[in-house]
Parts: sequence; C-alpha cells; structure tokens
Amino acid sequence: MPTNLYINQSVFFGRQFQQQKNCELTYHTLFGKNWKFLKSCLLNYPQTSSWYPRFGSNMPGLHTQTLIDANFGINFTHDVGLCNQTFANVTDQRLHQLWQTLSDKPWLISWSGGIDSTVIIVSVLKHLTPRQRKNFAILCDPSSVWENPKFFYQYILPNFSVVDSTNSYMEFEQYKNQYYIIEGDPADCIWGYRAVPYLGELANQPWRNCCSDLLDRLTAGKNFDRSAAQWQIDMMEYNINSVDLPIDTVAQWYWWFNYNFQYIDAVMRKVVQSAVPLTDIEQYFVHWYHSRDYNCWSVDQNINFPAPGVPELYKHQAKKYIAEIYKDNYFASFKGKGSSNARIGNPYKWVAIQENQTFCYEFDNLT
Amino acid sequence: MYFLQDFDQNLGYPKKFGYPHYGLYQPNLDCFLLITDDWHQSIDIKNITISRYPLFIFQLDEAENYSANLIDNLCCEHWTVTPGCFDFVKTYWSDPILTQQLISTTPTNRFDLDFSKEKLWLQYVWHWIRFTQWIFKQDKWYHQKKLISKLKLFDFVDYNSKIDCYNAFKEFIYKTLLLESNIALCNQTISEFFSKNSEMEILYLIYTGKA
Repeated sequence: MPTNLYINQSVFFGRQFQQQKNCELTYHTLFGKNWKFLKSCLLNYPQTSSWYPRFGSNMPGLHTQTLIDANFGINFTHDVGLCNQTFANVTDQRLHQLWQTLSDKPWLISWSGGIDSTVIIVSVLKHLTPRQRKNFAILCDPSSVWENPKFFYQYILPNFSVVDSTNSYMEFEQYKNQYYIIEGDPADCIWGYRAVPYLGELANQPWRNCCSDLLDRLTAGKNFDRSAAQWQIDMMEYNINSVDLPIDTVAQWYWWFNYNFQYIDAVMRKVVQSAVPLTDIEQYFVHWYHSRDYNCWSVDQNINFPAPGVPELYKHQAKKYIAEIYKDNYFASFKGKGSSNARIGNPYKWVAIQENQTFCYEFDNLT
Repeated sequence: MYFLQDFDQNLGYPKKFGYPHYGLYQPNLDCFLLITDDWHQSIDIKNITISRYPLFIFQLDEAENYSANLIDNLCCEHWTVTPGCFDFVKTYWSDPILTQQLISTTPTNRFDLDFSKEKLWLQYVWHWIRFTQWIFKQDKWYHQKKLISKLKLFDFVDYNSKIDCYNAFKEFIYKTLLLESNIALCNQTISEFFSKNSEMEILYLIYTGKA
C-alpha cells in the first residue's frame, strides 16, 4: 500500500471517519502515538485541518519529506539575513513578478475584507493603470463588504468588477479556466502573529523560562486540555531545537508555530476544501504570500525585530502599505484579526496525498 | 434637526437587579467603551461598529467582584478585564465572554483618541438601534397580524406593507451607521430621510417624547 504524504489530520477525529470501519488509510503521518493530544490541539485551532512541520525542521514520527521538500521548504540557515527589504518592497516586487509571468489570463483576487487581501488590491491600485486594471475582478461576498465597507465603496466598486463568492467553491470549475485566482494565503503564517499583539509583556519573555504563563495563555478561556497544551509546548521545543534559529521569546514561539506548523495547512487549504489536485494548484491558484522573498522577510523580521505585544502594531507594515492609498485612521489603529471574517471553513472532505503526488483521494461517501 | 441632537443617553444598567449586564470591550484601548443591558442590541452595535474597531462583549455580572453599581456608561473607560482571560482571535464570534475580575484602569491614549467622542458615537448607534426595535413593538398584535397576513387568511389584512416600511427604515439606519462615522453627517442623512417620510418622523418624535 502506498505511503500517504499528506492527510488533513483533523478529519481523523470526525464522526464520519469513526464510523468508516473499513477505511485503509495509514496513520503514520500523525505525530507518533499522541493522537489524543493532537486531536485536542487541532480542535483548539478550528481553522486548522492539519499540522506539519516544514522541510528543514524535524518532528518525531512524521514523514512528509517529499511533499514539503518540493513545495514548502526553506533553508533557514541560508536564507536568514539575506532579506534587507521592507514589506512594501517585497509586495511591490511580488506584483511585478506575477504580472510579468501571469498576464495571459485575467486575475480574480479573493478579498475577505481583511488586511492581507487588501494589501494585494492596494498594490494593484498603486502600480497598474486603469486600463490594466480591467483585467482584474474581485471575488468577495457580503461578509467581506461588511468587514470593510468603506474600502469596498471607495476603492473596489469604482475600480474593479466584482464577483459574488457566496458559492465560489461550487463554481470553481467555472472560474478556473477563466482566471488566475489570487489568494491571500499564507499571510498569517508569514506574519506569525495572531495572538502576539495581545500578549503584552509576556511577548518578550524567554518562553523556556515561563512555560507556565505560556500554558495559561494557550488554554485561556477555552476548553483546551492543559496536558495537551503541555504536549504542544514539548513538541515545539523538540522542533525548535532542530533548527539553527534563535527562537527565544514567547512572541517568537508563536511566530514559529504559525510559520512552521500551519504553513502547509494554509497552502493546502484549496486541496482540502475544493478538491483541487496538488499538481494543479499552481495552474489555477496564486498564493500571494507563498514566495521566497516573503519567507525571508518573515524570518528576518521575527528573528531580528520580534513583534512587541501591543495590538496597534498588528501587521503594522501592511497597514502602512495600505495607508498609501486608503487613509483611514481607525483602520490603521484598530484593524485586527479579531474582526476578520475570512471564509475559512472546516474541511468536509478527506484528502490523502500519496507518494507520487498525483493522487488526491476524496472520501465523499463519508459525508 | 433639533430632535436629532439630544438623543437619549443610557447608563446601561439592567432593568432589574439580577438581569444580565454587558460590556463592550475594545482590546487596543484595553477598556470598555459601552455598557448595555441587552445581548441582541450589543451584537448589533458590535456589527455596525466593525468598520471602526472590533468590540468584544463581556457579561459583567459573571465577574467575581461585580456589584450592581460598579460600572456604567459614565465611567466604563476606567474599567478593564483580567489580562489574558480569553483569546481575542478565537472568541470574536462566541457567546458573551466571561472575565474573572473587573479591574480598575487608567485608559491608555496611544491613539490620541477622544474617549468622550467615541462613547458618544456608540451611544448614538445604540439609540438608533433601540428606536428601530421600538417601532416594531408599538403594535402589540404585531406577530399575530404578521402571521395572518403571511398566511393570507383575510384578504383585507395588508400588514406586510407596513412591516416592509419598518424594515426598509431599519436597513437604511443600519447602512447609514455602518458607512458613516460622524454624528453630524448621519443626522443630515437621517433628517433628509425624515423629510420624505413623515410617518417615521412622527414615530421618532413619539419615541423621544417630543410629539
């Protein structure tokens, strides 16, 4: 039986799978014997369907080399220190690079109303002429508009055609040959923030000396088993020790968790949710932040300039970039992840990718 | 536009002792900006204020040190929650959040924000939400009539047109509050609406006790 390289692990814990007694999936892509803890951890991160470390860092009992080597690896030792660019430079270059290589089809930019996808639209508004912008459409739904109504009415409606994405997953077949679909993934992994802005003074503490506080944070206000959270910390320690990076503070710990363990999940989201074969992802989707430059910027920023635990600095370089076009003091000061309404649902399909990477199994019969 | 300038400001106390008491908390400012006594109205305020800043709804009366007169809209910016008591990212859409303690604080002003102006804006939003709810409650038989009208049991009952009119007004108010962030501009937009719709204006005058 061929080896599975990727499985969206959270589905292992779903009711449907428990009832499927004859399923022959192998379990070796999970973390050794710690099913109980992995289940608890995944349930605690509802937008995440799998945890995989990226190539270049190690975990016990995990075999994803081929998959991550080909697509998601980064040479940490080599790349750190090579980035001396600002977020704005990296973003401007990303637009030019993509525009040069992907101008044979129109672009459909997926806009959630949040910071990351707004950056993409602002880069287009900054650099492309109205004539060029006719090749762009914005994919959004009422919840995107609700999240940032002023930007929508002031900048999107007057400049772009709009496609209602309420049923976009169902209409993927219709869009795929017509457009390049530009997604704002995996921005949260590049920023690695999420909880960091609200850590306060804990952000700059050495995480090895304050595991108890970190445990408190991980389990705060949630039904997250404390022993599972401790397992997450132990697992992270093993993983951090396997790379040659100074990941010392609590803020860096959080960054590393997002950057290393959730990156593959973010890029694989379309495989899981829309059943796009892995080999076809590059053909139809562009993950805007999945580039070497953004990765280098992320490592450089978080190692050399770790994020302070203050909410107004949440993705502040991105907000500064947006402010070149959209001058709204409330957005600049207050826009955060808490209000983001990105439509990321839990996966309803089971996906297993095997060694040759050409097979993507869907278990529709389980739904 | 005299009637739009002195809207009722509410201290936010529950109608009776023991009823739930809510606080709308802003994490960047680390303080409460509005206290209310109604869960559904709090959700509407939070939703309308989304283009300004995120607000998180705490159930104040569940805090260990809560007492009936501890916190209201005169002093709410001087109160915060237990540090790290919840996950800001994951609990945005959840039920009311609980805090162990209500903690006295000095409001931070890293943003040069005029607290009284922000509090006034939230009171303004709440005022219009209350009014849009009030108009539906004027007819005690509202639900029964609506049902009868829907079922078309009596041809002479045409209640839907009235309901449609109220719903259209509610949509107009919510959209105005969502897209504007300035009380004066909102007032102007609303009074233009009233000038074309005397029924809603009269209802508003009744609501505010000026009719």
